[in-house]
Amino acid sequence: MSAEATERAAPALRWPAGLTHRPLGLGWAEPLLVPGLVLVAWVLSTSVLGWFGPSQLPGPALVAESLLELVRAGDLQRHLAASVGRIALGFGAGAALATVLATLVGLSRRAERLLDPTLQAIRAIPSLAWVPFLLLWLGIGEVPKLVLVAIGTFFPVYVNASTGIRNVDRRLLEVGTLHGLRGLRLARRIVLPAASPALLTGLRLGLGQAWLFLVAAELIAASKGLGFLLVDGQNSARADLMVVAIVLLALLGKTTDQALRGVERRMLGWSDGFRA
Amino acid sequence: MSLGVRLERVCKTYRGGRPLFSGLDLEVSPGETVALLGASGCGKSTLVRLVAGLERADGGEVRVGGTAVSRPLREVGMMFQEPRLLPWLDAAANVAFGLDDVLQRSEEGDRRVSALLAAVGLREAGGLLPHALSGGMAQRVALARALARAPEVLLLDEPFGAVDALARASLQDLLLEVTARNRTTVLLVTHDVEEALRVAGRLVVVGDRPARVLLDARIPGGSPRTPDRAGLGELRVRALAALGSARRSGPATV
Repeated sequence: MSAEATERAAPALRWPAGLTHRPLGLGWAEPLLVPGLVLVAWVLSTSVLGWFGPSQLPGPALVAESLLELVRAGDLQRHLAASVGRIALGFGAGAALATVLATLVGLSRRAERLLDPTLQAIRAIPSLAWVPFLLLWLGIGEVPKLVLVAIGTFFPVYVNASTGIRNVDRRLLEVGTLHGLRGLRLARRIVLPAASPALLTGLRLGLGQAWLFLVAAELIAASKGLGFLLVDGQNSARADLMVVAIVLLALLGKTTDQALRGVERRMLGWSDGFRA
Repeated sequence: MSLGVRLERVCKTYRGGRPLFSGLDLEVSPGETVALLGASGCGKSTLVRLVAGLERADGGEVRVGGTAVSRPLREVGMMFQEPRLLPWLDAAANVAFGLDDVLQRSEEGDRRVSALLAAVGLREAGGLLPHALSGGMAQRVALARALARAPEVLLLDEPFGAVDALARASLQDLLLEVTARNRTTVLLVTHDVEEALRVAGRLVVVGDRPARVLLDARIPGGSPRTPDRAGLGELRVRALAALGSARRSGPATV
């Protein structure tokens, strides 16, 4: 067709000139620049200048030694397995329940009227206020820790997903309706894909909250896990253990977030956002 | 044999507004292409949405081939003012979305999609996502999707308003070719008298509030027609006069 030759695919959008990404010439190492500077400051302030004593802030060498000691004794693996397992189960359960309820509330006015006010009221309760009740109702075993992580995950996922579903473009819903879709088929083929950017944002926020609540749960009543390692270091006046726990929490949090970002990039390749 | 469309004493009022239709009658014969013109806000788009089953009339009846429309019918395809492509599907998958579920997963479905993309001049663009398509290309994909099920009734709500003149002419030619081949019944909403005179077999101007038919005229000769074709001049004058009267009496907005 003649008009085909006259039309061109739309050019990809770019950031305005003043906002362009200007690399520092470090390539892949660029994101490591700030952590590197922190490490240098850490070495200088502890091992070189001696501003902090080992009981306040041990140097990197001492921390690395403690880490190896924990690995050799098998303790670190035990703590890591406990924390990662709690995140997997608590985050999984909280995110799944939040997605189901958000879909219901987002799609059905009746479900919204029935459930949303109550959920929003519960959301207003500071989540850590549940801790005494969870201990009272569920004891000090695994279950209250998993429930606390699930609570932490639930609300960011629920709020983002339900808002995303409610804001799905009505015109796209009409396209689905026009092609005979309704109910679950409409949800699967139009609503959830259209709301997936909001859902994935909710999942990333929920994952961050999950780590926060994990530490809270393990600080209170646990015999293993990175939160326990932290409180154990405090009780035994071993700052090196506390630093090991904090560094590992930072690394694990970053790794899981990065994994979710990877999923986001794969799933939202269609999104017409700016790509710098 | 294609299906006709019949609106009988249709009433429609949006909450808080004046009645849009109050006993409107309109009949489109099977295989006929009717262009519907009128001032902005006179209810043209609502009329096709009623036929599409996307809205319900407050009173009266909308029938497609004898079936009262209460929800979208499989036999009816629609193309909107804007492409409304699903942004997470590439052009080919958007066209396939218009097919029946079983066909979507079959080789026959793939062949149909390829043929439709070729027909709208986008043979090579099947793998492009909507955000990478120009406005004209996206509207072509939307036309291919609307034609995918070979609908017996095709509703077009100002479909070519946003594309350039060259692309518009080629889309109109494609529409004429496909609808003539399949004897599709077409209801085309447009604000462009020349478009109506070029592609339709009948021209209906609606106006006033509640809407009534101000002009209903057959367009002489086969389509597509050139603007200087004999007999079109007088009809153009009558259509513009009816539109002018509709604009003076009709509201600017719904």
